[in-house]
Amino acid sequence: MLDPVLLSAIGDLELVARVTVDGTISGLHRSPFHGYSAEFNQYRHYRQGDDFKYIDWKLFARTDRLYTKQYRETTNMVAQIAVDASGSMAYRGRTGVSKIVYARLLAAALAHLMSGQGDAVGSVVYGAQIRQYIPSRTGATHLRALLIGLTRLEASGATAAAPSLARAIDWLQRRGLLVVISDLYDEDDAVERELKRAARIGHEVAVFHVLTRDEVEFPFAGDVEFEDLETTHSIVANPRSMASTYRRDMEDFLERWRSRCASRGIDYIRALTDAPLDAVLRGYLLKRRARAAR
Amino acid sequence: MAFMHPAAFAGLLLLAGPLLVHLLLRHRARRVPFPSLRFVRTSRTAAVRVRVPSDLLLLLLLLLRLAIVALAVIALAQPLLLAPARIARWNTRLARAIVLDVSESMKPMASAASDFADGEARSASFAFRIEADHLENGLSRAVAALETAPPALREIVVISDFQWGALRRAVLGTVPDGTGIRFVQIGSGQSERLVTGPDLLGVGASARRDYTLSQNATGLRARVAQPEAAGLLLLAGPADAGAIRALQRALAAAGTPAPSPAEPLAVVFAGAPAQVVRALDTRWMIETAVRMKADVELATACAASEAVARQSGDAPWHVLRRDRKGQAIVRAAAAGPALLIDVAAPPSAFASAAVVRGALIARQSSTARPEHEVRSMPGADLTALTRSPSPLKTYVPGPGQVADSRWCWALVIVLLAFEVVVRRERNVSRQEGCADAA
Repeated sequence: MLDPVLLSAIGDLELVARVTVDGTISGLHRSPFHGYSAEFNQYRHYRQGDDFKYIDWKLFARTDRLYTKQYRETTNMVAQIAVDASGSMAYRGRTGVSKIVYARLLAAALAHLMSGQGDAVGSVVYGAQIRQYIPSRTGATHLRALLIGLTRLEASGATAAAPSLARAIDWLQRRGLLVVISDLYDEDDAVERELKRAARIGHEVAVFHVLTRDEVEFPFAGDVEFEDLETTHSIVANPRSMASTYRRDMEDFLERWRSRCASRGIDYIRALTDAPLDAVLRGYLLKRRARAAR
Repeated sequence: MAFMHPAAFAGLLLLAGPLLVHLLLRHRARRVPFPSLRFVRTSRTAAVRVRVPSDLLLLLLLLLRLAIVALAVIALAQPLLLAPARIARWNTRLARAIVLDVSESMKPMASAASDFADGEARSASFAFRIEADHLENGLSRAVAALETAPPALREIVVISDFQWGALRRAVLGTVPDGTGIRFVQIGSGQSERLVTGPDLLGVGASARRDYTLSQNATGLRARVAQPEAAGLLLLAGPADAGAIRALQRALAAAGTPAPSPAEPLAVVFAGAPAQVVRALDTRWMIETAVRMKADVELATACAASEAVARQSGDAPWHVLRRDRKGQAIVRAAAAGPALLIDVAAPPSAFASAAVVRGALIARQSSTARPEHEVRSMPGADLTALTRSPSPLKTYVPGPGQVADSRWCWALVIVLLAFEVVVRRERNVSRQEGCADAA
């Protein structure tokens, strides 16, 4: 398991992404992203969990050892990773890392995974408006540039995701993959409308809902002045008397997003910032593969 | 507005209570940056909302609470609204203290003076009758009595024969300005009085002097009161007989008071035989010894002398004086019915004469002489000192006055109700503020 706190301490985002992806892919029966054609790349020792259809039985007959064949998949997919960098993403609960760090690690791992398979990957960082746009391209050099862009990610200001997502969708010129990494504290309907539009025009959409455990469990006590990280508002409240209401509202909020995404065929992954990064990524990939199998 | 119990204003310190609560609650909230307030609701027990409109309500709440405490303190201070009608009603009443002189000189006119005092008392709304031997003492008691009177015009009436010197102008200065003073002079027509002076020590007899006091002249007539100076025994050695006679002549010449046969004195000089003594046990003996110890002239004479024999200061003796070397030179004890004074000096010594004279003066109790005065204070002087009571302009503390606290309490109740309304309004405002923030 890859502890996000440990990963965040590693300065080299490329290394982090590679470690994460290696841990994630190992054990999966087949590559998560399929190309139209795949060309043979190399043999690898069989590992428990590898799909039997990739075992080279002739080689087994000759050597009495099990090898699986690995293919280099040719690109066929264009991916855009949209990262929310609004002020609320700067929140770091009492456990795990801040949401923006978690989002950075997640985005880097996804980019590395896709780029490694030859897919074109780009990124859009947004708050109240688009702050950084890296077009989708292939290649290690491009990946490095993308990771450097992610390294510079800072959370601040208000959020208005809908216009930024609209631009990101438009930039995906052909059918591709849109990954949204956000805490979704925004105008729900407007964001949902854009995601729905993306799904309707044939893009594959995945939403990583990044939250801290404190936001979900609300473990505060005593009179607390809660200061909104995005606005100038603050509220003094007694958490003990309103915690149950908060938790219920939060649960409704999460459930609402889950059902909205499910009804539109959008992958919805809830990611708590103290959850191991590879587990989250693996969960997403398994879900995606299961859907592809259907 | 006046206050019947201004000390209650110390309760204004309680204003610190709401202020402290306000300040402490403001600072009690821990500041936590949070990603979104859309699900955070202000709760009823939450202290305050900061930087939102309910701050105004909070301020209003603080002001209301301060006002409630302040009004309660004012109510406890017993406020009195000084309406013109109320002050006018006070000015229709009169509190009068009547000082009635009951000294020796007033005894012939006691009945007339008492009747006059009764009449003065009946004509006042509130009256205090004060009987006094000394007018100055009576005046101070009258001032104290009037301080306990309800709000009203205040007046002191002094009924006396006003002997010369009975009243000093300085004493009248202690009477409050607004209080009127009136003097009623009774029996000022006495023209002559016979006063007998104290007996004086003579050689072989005591002398008495009769003084005739009139308005313009004083007469003196001396006569023999007792053939022998009974009550004084001077004991010395056989060789000092001449010195004793010389001492008696010297004392007579100095106008020394005569001894009293009922309170005998025995003075023992150096060389006389020892006497059987006991501790001082009679009131007059003790008083005499105390006065001798306070006698400055005796102290001076003894301090300049030197004891010729060593005296013990142990019981039953009581040392009255010491010589210049610190030795006891005069000591006292009781011997039979007499006060025995032992002097460690021969009768020819100056200290011996001072001791005998001092003992005789100390034995004699002082008597009030002003009562013998036949002259009265002139009526013009008394008229000049007379003044009318000043009308009241403000509240004068006194019993029987009902304060207007009820209005303050009513206001407190209204403000309390208002406070409840504002508190609820603030809670609602906080809920709405939360919804806005969400």
